Amino acid sequence: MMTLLRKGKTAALVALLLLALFQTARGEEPWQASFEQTCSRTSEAMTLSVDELKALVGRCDALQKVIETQQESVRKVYLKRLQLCRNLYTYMLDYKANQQSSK
Amino acid sequence: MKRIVLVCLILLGGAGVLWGAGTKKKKALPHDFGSVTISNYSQQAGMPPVVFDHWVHRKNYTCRLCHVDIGFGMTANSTQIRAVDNGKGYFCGACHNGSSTHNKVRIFESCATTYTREDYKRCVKCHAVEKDPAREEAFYRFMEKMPKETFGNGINWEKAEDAGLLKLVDNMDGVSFKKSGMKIQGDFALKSKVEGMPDIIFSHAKHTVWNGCEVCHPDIFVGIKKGATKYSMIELFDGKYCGVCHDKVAFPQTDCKRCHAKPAAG
Repeated sequence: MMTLLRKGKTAALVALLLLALFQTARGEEPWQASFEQTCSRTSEAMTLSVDELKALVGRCDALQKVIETQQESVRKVYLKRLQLCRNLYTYMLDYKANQQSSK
Repeated sequence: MKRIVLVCLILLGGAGVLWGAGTKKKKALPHDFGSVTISNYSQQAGMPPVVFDHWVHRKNYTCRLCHVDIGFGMTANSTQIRAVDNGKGYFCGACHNGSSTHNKVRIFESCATTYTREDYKRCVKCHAVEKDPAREEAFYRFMEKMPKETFGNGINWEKAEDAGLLKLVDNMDGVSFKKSGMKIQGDFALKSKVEGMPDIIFSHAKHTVWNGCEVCHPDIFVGIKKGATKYSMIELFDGKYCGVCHDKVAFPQTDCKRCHAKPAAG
């Protein structure tokens, strides 16, 4: 059992290292990958569950703190993009809450 | 005495007419319709403001690509673009970087922090000192091949896309995300407030193809519950709701039948 756990941990570590290497090779910072994962779901926002939407809004808030520490040009572009996607997820959350209350 | 009163009245009337003429909104010419003047920092840098032609860009790219993925705001001067941003490959520099191409044609490079007399010719492509007849000619050459429309810039963009005359790019490497397919909401009707005026048919499909969801929701259309937000034509003409795009870039709201399109019952 302990051996399996150790193997799992090693595999996760290797995967993380590979991901970091891949991002560096693409010239991408880790927060950019997280940004992509978070904001690439706007086109399916209508079909996401309340829990999924709440999780995405939480990730947007965490990302905002990281983006605010970037240089000015990056900050301008990505804060605007983040605001658009966060606002849409919040809008969908309100829409779903409204639907539930009217049932 | 009567003569003095009469002269005063004539002078007052004349002043009113002159004042009215001065403030009356001029109808934009077809090639100027949708043009935006951007002047945040240009003049401080000794350059004329940027005159951005929407038609040049909308014939190649979706609204979403620029207003979501590249991060341009929806109102003039709201983005606060600096030459340094463009130079780093953001905003205009996302495409105008000297290496990107469109239809195998290299897109000219945008801003530089220092420039020579030769470079200045490139600067004035956007920082327009005066009206460029070549830009007008290019518009009318393009317009000739497009379906006609009475209002706006005289082009029916929707028909042009339906007919396959426009192939809009909605994705840019290194900028856009890989997205899953969108579940498009159905069209719906909005009741007209004026008797005899057909109801409005709003097509989500047409709008989402060019805009995605986040251009409109919730920044322009806040209402969650259908019918909760009451729109009036006064607000629309004042640049709210549909008026954010229509009248400025998309077809003008004076083209009533484009929206009030529901056939009368019976």
